[in-house]
Amino acid sequence: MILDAMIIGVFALTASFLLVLGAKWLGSAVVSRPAGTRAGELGDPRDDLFPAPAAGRPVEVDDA
Amino acid sequence: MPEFNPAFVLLVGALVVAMLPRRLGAITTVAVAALALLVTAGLPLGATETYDFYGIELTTLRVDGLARPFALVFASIMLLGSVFGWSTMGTLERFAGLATAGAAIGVVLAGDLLTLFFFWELKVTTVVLLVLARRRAVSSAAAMRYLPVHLVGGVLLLGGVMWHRVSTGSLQFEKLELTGPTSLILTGFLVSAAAVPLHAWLPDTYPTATVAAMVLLSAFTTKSAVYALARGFPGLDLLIWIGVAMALFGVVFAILEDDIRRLLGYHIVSQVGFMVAAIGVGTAAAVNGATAHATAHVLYKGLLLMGAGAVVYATGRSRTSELGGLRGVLPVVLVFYMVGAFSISGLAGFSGFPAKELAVSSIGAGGEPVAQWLLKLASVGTFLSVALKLPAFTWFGRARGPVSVRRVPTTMYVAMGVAAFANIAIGLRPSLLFDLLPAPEPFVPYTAGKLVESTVLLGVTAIAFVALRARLAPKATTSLDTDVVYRELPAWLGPRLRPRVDVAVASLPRPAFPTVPAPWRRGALPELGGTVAPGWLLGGTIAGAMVFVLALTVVVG
Repeated sequence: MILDAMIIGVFALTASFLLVLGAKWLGSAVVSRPAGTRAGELGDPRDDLFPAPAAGRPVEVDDA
Repeated sequence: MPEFNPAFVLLVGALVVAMLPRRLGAITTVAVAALALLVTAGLPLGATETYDFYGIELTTLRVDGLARPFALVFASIMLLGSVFGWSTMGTLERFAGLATAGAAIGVVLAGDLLTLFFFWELKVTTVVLLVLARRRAVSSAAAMRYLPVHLVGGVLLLGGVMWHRVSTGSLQFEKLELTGPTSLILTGFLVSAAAVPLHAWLPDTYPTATVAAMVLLSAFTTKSAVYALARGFPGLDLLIWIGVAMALFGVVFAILEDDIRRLLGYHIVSQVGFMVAAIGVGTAAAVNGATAHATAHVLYKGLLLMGAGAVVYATGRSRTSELGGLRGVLPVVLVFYMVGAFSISGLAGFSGFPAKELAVSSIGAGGEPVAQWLLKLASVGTFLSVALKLPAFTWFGRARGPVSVRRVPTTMYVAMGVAAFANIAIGLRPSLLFDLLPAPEPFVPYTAGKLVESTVLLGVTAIAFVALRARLAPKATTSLDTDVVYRELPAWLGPRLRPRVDVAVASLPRPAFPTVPAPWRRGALPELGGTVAPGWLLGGTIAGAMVFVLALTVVVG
């Protein structure tokens, strides 16, 4: 069982790096475009059903 | 409880709700969904209902071990979704939601291919209405892209049904051998299952619907297709590799995705891949695994989308590149979301663990160890993006833009709480789910080996996430998918082909029938975002209707 656990641990570690680095490479090479460059794209606040509340509770903003 | 088809309860209820004012409509929607769940739960195994339709025996109700869990979970999510959307859903949304649930239950309880097709196409229509109910340009455009894709799928399905009837004389919906006619039926099912590369409609359409509508949408279309594949094509080897491709493709695109609801949309593609692969193996245990996974998936994906929907509702933002720091203001939503995230990741104690273990181990036991390991690879990606990346950049750290938060309605918390309870209950007591499965195959999910494997797999992935966190930091990007073919190719080809088409059209004799109104003739309507040519839609709709009438004539004749 210990050997099985080690095998699955190495597999998970390799798989994590493979997936993230592979996806990022695919994104930068082919798939990803800057947001807002496509017709009918999601995420435009003007198109939101629930526009950001004007007087809601503010969330601390990252200034960095 | 009388034995009748719960689909009709929902469809009649939808018509009633359409005529009621908003407040009364909310109460009635929940009441109709609760009644449909009671009727579904009261249906005994073996119940049937048949009608004579011009000499053809149609089976509108067939309750067996495969249909029952799907019908039950569809009715359950309709109830949860209507509670979640109590204060946000409009009349059209309630009507379309109930009608979609009715159509999906009609699909899984249909005993013949013609009844199945009727409910299948009804579902396509009501899904379009459900997306349109958001009444925004982005959702209208997505609905108009969804429609032709599913129209083509429906025409293929009907063509296959018609051809199958002519060649075999049967309309019964049982296991089908792969032939010319049934390959058309299979393609129709695969379009609805969001099989790669026919999947792009899903992450394109679902996230544009309202927050409550997406909860409903996530359950009905792909899972009724999973049911249809499990009924018609268990053991078809091709499905194993289609399923593996879906599982991997979905997680890779989810890792890239910035929009939280689109990210979860890609995970629908990925999780349906697990089910399709298990159906491809086709053993009794594997079909049990696909059914268990589909049932659990409806519950945990519904919960995840409720959590993400509550964030969108509260902040008006859906991109992780604009979110962050919500831990202090939406802590309860985070807790409920994480229950769904642990479930989809297959963590012990949550509903995804027994369901995914059954599906994945049955694939290995079915003689497909490579597919089994590739699905474990997809599981790593699922945990990375749903349980680590999305919450880390939505609830933790600080907001990456000016965000303020409105109060989340109590009914949303109630729906999330019930869904979370159901996921934990199934996780701790898998017999609640396993007792519903089609075949009496014994399976023990909680063994030392499986617990160690799951814990190590997810634990090491969490450690890897710490190292990879900077690379996963959100970027305001949009991912191009296979929908680029029908979203952007027409816009690119249009100006290039237009002069030639104009010359060709000018050389034709003038038509004797009235000309098409100018907005349709000129190309895309403004509200469609210029991405789909309405002429294509109009022509496709007319062609589809003509094929339908022709097919009905042939089948009846």
